[in-house]
Amino acid sequence: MSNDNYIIQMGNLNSIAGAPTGSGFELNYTVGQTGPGLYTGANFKVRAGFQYISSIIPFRFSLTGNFIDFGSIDPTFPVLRSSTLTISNGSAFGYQVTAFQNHNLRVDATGQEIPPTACGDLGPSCTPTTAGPWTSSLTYGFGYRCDNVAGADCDSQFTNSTYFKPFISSPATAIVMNGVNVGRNKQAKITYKVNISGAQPAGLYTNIINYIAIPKF
Amino acid sequence: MKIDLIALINLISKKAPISKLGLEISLDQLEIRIIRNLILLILISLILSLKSPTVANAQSVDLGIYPPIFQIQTVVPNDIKLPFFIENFQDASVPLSISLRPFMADPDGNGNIILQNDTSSFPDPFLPQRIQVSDGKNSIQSLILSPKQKKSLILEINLPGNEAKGDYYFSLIFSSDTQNVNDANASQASVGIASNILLSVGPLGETKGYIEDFSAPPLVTQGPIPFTVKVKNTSDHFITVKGDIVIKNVFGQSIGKVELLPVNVLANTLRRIPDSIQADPNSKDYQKIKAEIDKNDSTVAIWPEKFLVGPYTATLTLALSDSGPLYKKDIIFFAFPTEYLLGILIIIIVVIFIVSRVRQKAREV
Repeated sequence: MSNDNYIIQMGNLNSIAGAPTGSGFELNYTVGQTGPGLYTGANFKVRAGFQYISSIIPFRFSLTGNFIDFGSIDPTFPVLRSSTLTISNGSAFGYQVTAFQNHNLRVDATGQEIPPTACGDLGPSCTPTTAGPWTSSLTYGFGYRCDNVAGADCDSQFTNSTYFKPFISSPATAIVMNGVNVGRNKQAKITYKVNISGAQPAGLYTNIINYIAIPKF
Repeated sequence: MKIDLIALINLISKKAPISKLGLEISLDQLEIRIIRNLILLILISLILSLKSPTVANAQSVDLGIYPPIFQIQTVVPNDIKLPFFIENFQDASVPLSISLRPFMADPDGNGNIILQNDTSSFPDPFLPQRIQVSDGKNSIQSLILSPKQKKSLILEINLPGNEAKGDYYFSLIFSSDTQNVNDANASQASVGIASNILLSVGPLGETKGYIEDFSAPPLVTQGPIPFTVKVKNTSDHFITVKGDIVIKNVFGQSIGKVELLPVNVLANTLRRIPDSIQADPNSKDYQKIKAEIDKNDSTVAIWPEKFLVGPYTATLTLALSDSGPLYKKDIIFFAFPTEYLLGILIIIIVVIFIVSRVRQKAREV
């Protein structure tokens, strides 16, 4: 549909209803059935969704196990817990899941912290951007690893089950999963590991891990 | 039929004679009936529990958003309203916070983004204040999604006449809220899902750029062939490139074509371009190139042809926008199918050997 002032190219879409508008004109459209749309007017042009992907299923992200209770942590006895991340990016060409913590595991009342792990027995072997082996029960801190459950989108640095890295702290972010094309139900298991020394002050340590699934552009 | 309840209880505990119930059945028969009825009751309960809705799992968050990207080119002043939806797939309510975070393209060129902490690099650092999410007529910064709710919202961008020209890239993020925990050693996970906004405030400058790299392995033994296509956008706005790679054999015949995916290249950044097959994992051709995709860490455009022999010329044609400019670049690669040629060589040697032996025998006779 077009006239001298605008062109409308769009699918017949059901799941979104609304009115994209700009100055001097108003367009009504619905979105959700046949695919992404191109909406142009005298003053603007909008492409909603990826034009080359006909799917209109939502970009979807789920996490199971969002409360990670470490229970009572005994010195030199590492505690392991896990969460599962699942991505369906049928309507987006590629995606990334970034993660970051608001702060280290901390007793808010006292400010005491469990530090991010450095992994190595004889010195730092991992950083928030580089995984390394964490095997010694005398290496302390908090970290995580990513294992592929369905697909192969975990960071490939986690070469075996001993490899971990610490969470990066906000506002920086680090990628934990990365998909290069279209896929459904790509799944990864995040294993959290915390280990403390005998000198760690007693208290209840907490923090927040943020996972954000973002489509590629 | 009237039954004395106390007598029944006594009977079950075998303290009373059955005659007190006034029933013409034996104790064993009554026990069998009770047990049978109990089993029936348990089975019915089990079936009903299986059919009832899944119990809400507060330890899971499952969110969806559509569309995953908004590509907006506009001149000012303008007031743009775009509908989208956010969906909760769980059987429990989920409180969400809404935020906008600027991003830049990851220099790896694979389309990844790097979230930024502030908007100081924007032509107008205060532009985010002119973007809001509305529920009906109300601007919102948080919302609660009910179980299984799909919520339609409006992305509203109000640009005044003096808005600074340039490109602005944001992720619109919906993050699940967490609760205060003070009775456990614990981490809480917040789940966020984002839709990207590419906003060009014009008038747009000239579209310009160049092919940074077009290459393939110079010598291969077989296909599929991975082409590296890197495009640098030197415009002041994002572009959507279109193009293809045409492959010709030694006789100049066109024997293959790779359609490139029309991906976005942000202003003053580089992007690797994949082929269009990769956007459809259900296609037969995708299965042919899947191994090659997995083998490459970076994005490549793949020609699925398997059997190749001799020199080939690949011509990349790329348009930086619908109205150009258009660029072309040729490369040559050579295919030497070692396995096939070794097999043929062995056969030739065997044939020559047999022929020579037969001739030798013939001479002797």
